[in-house]
Amino acid sequence: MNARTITRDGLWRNNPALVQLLGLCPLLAVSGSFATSLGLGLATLFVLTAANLVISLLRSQLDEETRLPVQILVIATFVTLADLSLQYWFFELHQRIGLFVALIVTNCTLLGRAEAFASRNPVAAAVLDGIMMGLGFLLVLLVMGSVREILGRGTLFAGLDRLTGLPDVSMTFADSGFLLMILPPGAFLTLGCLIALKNLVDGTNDGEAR
Amino acid sequence: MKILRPTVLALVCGLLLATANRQMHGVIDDNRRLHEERVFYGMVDGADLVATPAGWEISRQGQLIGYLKETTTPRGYNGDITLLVAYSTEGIILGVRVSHHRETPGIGDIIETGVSDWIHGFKETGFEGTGAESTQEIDAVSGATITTRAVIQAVAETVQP
Repeated sequence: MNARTITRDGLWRNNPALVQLLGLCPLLAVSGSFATSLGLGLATLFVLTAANLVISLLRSQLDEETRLPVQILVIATFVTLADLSLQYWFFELHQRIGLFVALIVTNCTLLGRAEAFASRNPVAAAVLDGIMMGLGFLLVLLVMGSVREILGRGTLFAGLDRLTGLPDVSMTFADSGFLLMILPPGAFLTLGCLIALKNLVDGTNDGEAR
Repeated sequence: MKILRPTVLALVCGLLLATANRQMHGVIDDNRRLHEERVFYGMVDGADLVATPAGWEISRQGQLIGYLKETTTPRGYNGDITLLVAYSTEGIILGVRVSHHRETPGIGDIIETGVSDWIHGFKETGFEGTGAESTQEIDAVSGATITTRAVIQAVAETVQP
């Protein structure tokens, strides 16, 4: 597998959120605003890359029977580390997304990539796969967070400064928004539209290729 | 001995996490305390707080001026709402904050300071007989009636003599 294929798979063709539809629980629950999306997306990116690295390193040492528990063990270790680090550096953000950080361990994208890719590929490829799959997930989270925040609250980047310590760049477009977009149905609607959009783009491309 | 390698790995992971926790828990505890203090001192306008078994005593220049109490009401729209209520010795409310809730985002979260100013309306109110506007008279918010009523009720019960 070359780097180009891995990159394209993670970011677009086999995107964990839009194509594999894995990790929907955090995707739908945390994408209510840009700031929380960014926090959880980065935490997932870190855990995915680190877990892929370690599992790829260990791949010759593991046999069929014990591979899955070991993968879960490695993922759980990194999730706990990410959880501790968030409390250490970004306590306010952890107050908001803490529940979902712990749930990263159940994000099927992680076990899926560990089993399907990292445990069968060399270290460099596994790390790249972790980064690209993580980025693919992060990008979808950010798009969903932005869309839902703009439509649902009439703001963008609100709370980013308070939650992450970055400078305040928040924008306000309206005093109130379309409430449904903040609620769970808004998450499903946004994700559905994104998947439809991706399929539309892919369909056009295929047509041109033929 | 198929179990040997996973066991060793588990020990390594356990050791790693124990070390990380040991290194980090001091700062994490400080962060939690700082976070709480920022909320607390914002409510009492910089006065001193002394922890007591029943909550906190608020004093200014050694003089007791009021109390800060945590209270939980089960009457929220979606489970418990935990509130911090600061009130003076005369029963006048100095400030109210929500420390934990699971109300509907976009509707019930109107009780959060980051979302609306509604919770600041409790300031300077009190129970009947203090001469201040009655806490019970605070308006509930249409659309979030259950949530806001639960908060009003819980605050009123807390400052009741």
